[in-house]
This record gives sequence, structure tokens and C-alpha cells, in this order.
Amino acid sequence: MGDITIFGIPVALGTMLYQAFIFTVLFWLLHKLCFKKIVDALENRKKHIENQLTVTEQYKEEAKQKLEEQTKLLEETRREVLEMRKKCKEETEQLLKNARDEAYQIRAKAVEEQKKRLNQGA
Amino acid sequence: MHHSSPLVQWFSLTFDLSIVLTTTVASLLVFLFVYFTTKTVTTKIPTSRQNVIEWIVEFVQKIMRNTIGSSRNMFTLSCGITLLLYIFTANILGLPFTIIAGEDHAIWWKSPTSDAHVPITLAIMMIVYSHYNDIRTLGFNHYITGYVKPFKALLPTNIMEQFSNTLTLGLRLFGNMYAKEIMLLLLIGSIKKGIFVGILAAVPLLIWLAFGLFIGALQAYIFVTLTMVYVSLRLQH
Repeated sequence: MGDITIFGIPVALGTMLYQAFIFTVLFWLLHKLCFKKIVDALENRKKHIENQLTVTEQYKEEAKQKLEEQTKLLEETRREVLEMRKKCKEETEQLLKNARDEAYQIRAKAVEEQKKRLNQGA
Repeated sequence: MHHSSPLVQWFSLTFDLSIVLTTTVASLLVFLFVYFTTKTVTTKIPTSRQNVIEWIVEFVQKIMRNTIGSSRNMFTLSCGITLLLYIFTANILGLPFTIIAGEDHAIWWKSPTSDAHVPITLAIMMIVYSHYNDIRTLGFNHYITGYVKPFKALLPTNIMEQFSNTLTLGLRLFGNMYAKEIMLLLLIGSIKKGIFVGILAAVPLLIWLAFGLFIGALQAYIFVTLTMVYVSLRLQH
């Protein structure tokens, strides 16, 4: 039993129409309700991850730059400190020398005065 | 062993009730599956349910990229995913059981794809869609001139090709599923020949069920891939 026959094969047109109908309905429902949502979500996640990767790359670059700056700064500071220490040492030595010289002078003066006084007394 | 189909006449058209029943069930199953897996879609970390549907979507997108070259066309993508899920569900519908009822041994429950009407209808729809897609994206002129390329002499061949594409696309699926159902019926029917034959047939039946599951998935994949190939072929030349 069939509606038409093609080369002797009975074809039930109603079955085919119903099949086309149910598949179209299923397709439209899923197309409108579900697939747009899931594909959008996939796209958004892809974009989000791409963004995150670019941002990470940027941060990495920035961090590298900062680190270089810091290293430079640290070296400068160290050099300055060394210079300062050297200068301080020199200054201290100078001061010490001055003080010693002065002390010698004072002592020499004192000795001379003592001698003078003794001579006068004698 | 002869089986018939429960045919009825409505509006002077013949309907096979078993196919009406099984295709409706298959559509419902697919719809419910997709509906529940996409119910709570999130862009953040996906749930396991979402992972399943994402895997299927990406699978079809990959087929599209391999054949058409891009997976941008949402209509084609939806078509591919629906086809894949629907054909797979329809293919494995007949695996758990077959219901034969009535005095005329009518088969009420089977894989709807094991009846030629279903795959041929799907194939016609897909070929018509590939033609529609051609006209919509590249214009009617391109569509008409496509029939006389590369030479005018190939016009009959090009027209014949469209019919043969439809037939092979549909009949490939039908043949595989029909063979699967026939083998299942034979193996299950062996129980009537006695308990000893039934036990002997148990192991082949088990293997055949697993194989049926495998070809069910494979044929669904092939159908979707070929649909995409036919769509892409019409978009090229």
C-alpha cells in the first residue's frame, strides 16, 4: 500500500511529509531556543580567554620592565652607598688627622710653656 | 517470517504509524536532551552537562571547517547538529527492543531509519537545502550556470548527479540500518527454534548490538559529513 509507486516501489507520501514536518519542527525549535545560546557562550568564552591571554602578556611585559627598572635603581643605590662610605672614610681620616695634629700642637705648646716656667723659676 | 507495517490512510495520504511514533519519540528525546543540556549555559566554567553539548557542537563545527571552510553559518551548523543527534537517536531506537503486534505481525517499534522513507526524506531535504543555500549566498545566476560547468555537455550529468547524490545519501543510511534491523530480528527470532539455538545466538546478538550502536553513530556522522560536503560543493565552482 502506498500513494505512488516509483519503479514498482510503493512510496507512502504521508510518512515522508510527516518525517519532513517533525524534523523541521525539531530543527527550528533547537535553532531558535538552544543552539544560538550555546554557540554564543562558546564564542564569548573564546574571546574571554583570548583577552585574558593578551592581558597576561601585557602584564608580563610590564613586570619585566619594572624588574629592570628596579635592578637599575638598586645598582645605583649601591654605588651611591659605596661612594658615600668612601667619602665618609676619607673625611673621618682627615678629621682624625686634624685632631691629632691639633693635639700635638697643643702638647708641644704646653711643653714649651712648662719649660719657660721652669726656666723663670730657676 | 513476514512482517508488515501499520499503515493508515489520512487525508488520502498513507501514513506508516510505526514511523510516526518512532520519529516523534526520537525528536522528543533529542529536544529534551538539547534543552536540558543548554538550560543553564554559562560562559564561565561549564558544567558537565554543558560540556557534553559543547563537545557535540564543536564536533560539528570541526566537520564544517573541514568541508565548507568556516563554521560561521549558524543555520548550517544547527542543521548539522540536529541531523547528527536525530539520526543517531533514530538509529539506536531499535536496539533495545522491537515491538511486533497484531494478527498481521505489524512492526510498531523499530529504528525509523531502517525504513527507506525516513532517510530518503532527510536526504531530499538536505539536497534541497544545499541548492537553496547556493541561490541565497551566490545568486540565481551562479546556480544556473553551475549546471553547465566545466562544459555545456555535462548538463545531463550534472542534473543526474543531484538525483544520484540524494539517492546515495539516503540509501546508504537506509541500507546500513535495514541490515542491522534484519540481523537483529533473525538473531532474536532464533529463540523460537528452541532454547539451545537461543543460547547459541546470545553471544552473536550481544556483539551485533554493540556493532549496531557503533554503525548507528558512524552512519549519523557520515550523513552529516556528506551533507556538509554537498553544501560546500554547491558553494564552490
